[in-house]
Amino acid sequence: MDISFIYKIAAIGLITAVINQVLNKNGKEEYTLIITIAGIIIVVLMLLPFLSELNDELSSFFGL
Amino acid sequence: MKRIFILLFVVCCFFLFSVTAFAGDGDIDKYSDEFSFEEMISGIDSDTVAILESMGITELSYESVFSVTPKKVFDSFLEIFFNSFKMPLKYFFSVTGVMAIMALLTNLSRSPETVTLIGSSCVACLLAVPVVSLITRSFSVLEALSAFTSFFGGIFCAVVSASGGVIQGTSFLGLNIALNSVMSVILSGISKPLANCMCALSFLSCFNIKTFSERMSDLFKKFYIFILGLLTTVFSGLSAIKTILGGSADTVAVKGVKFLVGRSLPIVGGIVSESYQSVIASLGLIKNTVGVFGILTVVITVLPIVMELFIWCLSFNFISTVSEIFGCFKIQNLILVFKDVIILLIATICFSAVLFIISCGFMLVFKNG
Amino acid sequence: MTVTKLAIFALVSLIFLMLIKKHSPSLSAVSEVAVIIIFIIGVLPDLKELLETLRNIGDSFLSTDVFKIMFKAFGVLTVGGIASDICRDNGENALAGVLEIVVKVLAISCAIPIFTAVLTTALALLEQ
Repeated sequence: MDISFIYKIAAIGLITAVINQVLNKNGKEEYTLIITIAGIIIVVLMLLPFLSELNDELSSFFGL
Repeated sequence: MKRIFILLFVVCCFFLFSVTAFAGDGDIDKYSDEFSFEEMISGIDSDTVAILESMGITELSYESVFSVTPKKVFDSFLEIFFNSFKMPLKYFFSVTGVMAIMALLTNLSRSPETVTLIGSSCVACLLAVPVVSLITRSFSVLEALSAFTSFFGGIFCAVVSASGGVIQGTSFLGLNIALNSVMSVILSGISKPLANCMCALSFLSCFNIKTFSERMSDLFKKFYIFILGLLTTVFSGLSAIKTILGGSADTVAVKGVKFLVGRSLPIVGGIVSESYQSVIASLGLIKNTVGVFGILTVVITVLPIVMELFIWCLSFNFISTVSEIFGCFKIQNLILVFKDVIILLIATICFSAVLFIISCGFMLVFKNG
Repeated sequence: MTVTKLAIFALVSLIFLMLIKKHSPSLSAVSEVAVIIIFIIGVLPDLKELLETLRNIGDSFLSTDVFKIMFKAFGVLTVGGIASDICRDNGENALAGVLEIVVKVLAISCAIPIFTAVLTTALALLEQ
């Protein structure tokens, strides 16, 4: 039960939000989308080992 | 002096020229070739022969049949009973397990109908094998029974006729043949299709393809049992009438023969007519032995399958109660239809066995002469 | 895994998700998936023992794979249901509905051997 992982995701989310606000304030709105997508990709990459572990566990549990 | 000599001479003549006439003993082996008992015994199914041997009846003879003690009978019945207990119990536990898990998963899942569908088809799949095998085995027992009764009918008619009951014997044979043909028509035309259709529709009902309601199967069952009851009453009535009247006619015939022989034959007439009576009595013993053997064989042919069907009926009752507790109503419908099919099968088998036993029993009870 | 630990984990993640949702909604979907995955991975080992016991009892009575098929279908339905709920949480009701339908079809197709067996028996009985 890695609650630290949740903190990491929250941290990335907050950082993304802060960067977006800064870019908005500086007038570079076009970069907000790119930063958001980058944040999502980072979170998904961090999530990948968990996904594979889940897949293994579910296959063995349900026989999927 | 002369008179004493004549008296002595007459007494000597009496002892020298007397003729003894007596009947042979009731030794069944002498008659076994004539009445072809071997053919009848070879027509009996091997399981029945095994049970008869375990009860001590190894051959068709008075000593063998008479030596059956209550203990032997009780032991073989208990053995049959315990043998037929295993399968229903095993299926009861497995179906209960499937239903429990199905109830659990239905409550946990977000689409309970899918889980119910899969669960009820699992139960149908589990029960398909034993139910179909029960139906096929019941019908094969009925076929074996009709084969045995047709063999037995001819032989018993011959024995009964030889023991003086000619009209009784021929009426028995006639009724036997009629009964066999009626039974085969009923079996192939009504019972088998009915049982198969009810089972198939109940299987398909778990897919919601055709909901075969409990009331329809109840109606079929009641109608079928009514028809069987009617036929049983008609046949046993006819059998009783023919046997009693035939018996009286045969008594008249036997007494007529005795009178005729007694009056027509010059010296030995009286003795020969009395010995005719003892011949009839000894053949009567054989008739009773053969009759009892026939009844025993029919009972033992029918008993294992009826016991098994009865235990399956009980276990289906329990399963349907358990399914009601778990709330699986589709499965409960399925099980109740199976129970009705089994009751139909029990009714059919008992009907054919009981009719044979009644007609044979009448023959044994109403003696002639 | 006690109930209190699970409940606290769920509530703490809820607070973080609400925080993320306000600032970047797209990230909230991914983080919701992340939370659910961690939750399941945390709980599964305990459920596994229970399942093994049930399976052993089941296999000792039956010789067929009836239990296996039922559990597989249940698993398919559950996983698909969770995914469709996540879609619904983020406002995609149509996607959620389609996913539900597809998952039901998949679950039924898991049980195809049983259906074939029952149908062939029924049709064979009707033909006799």
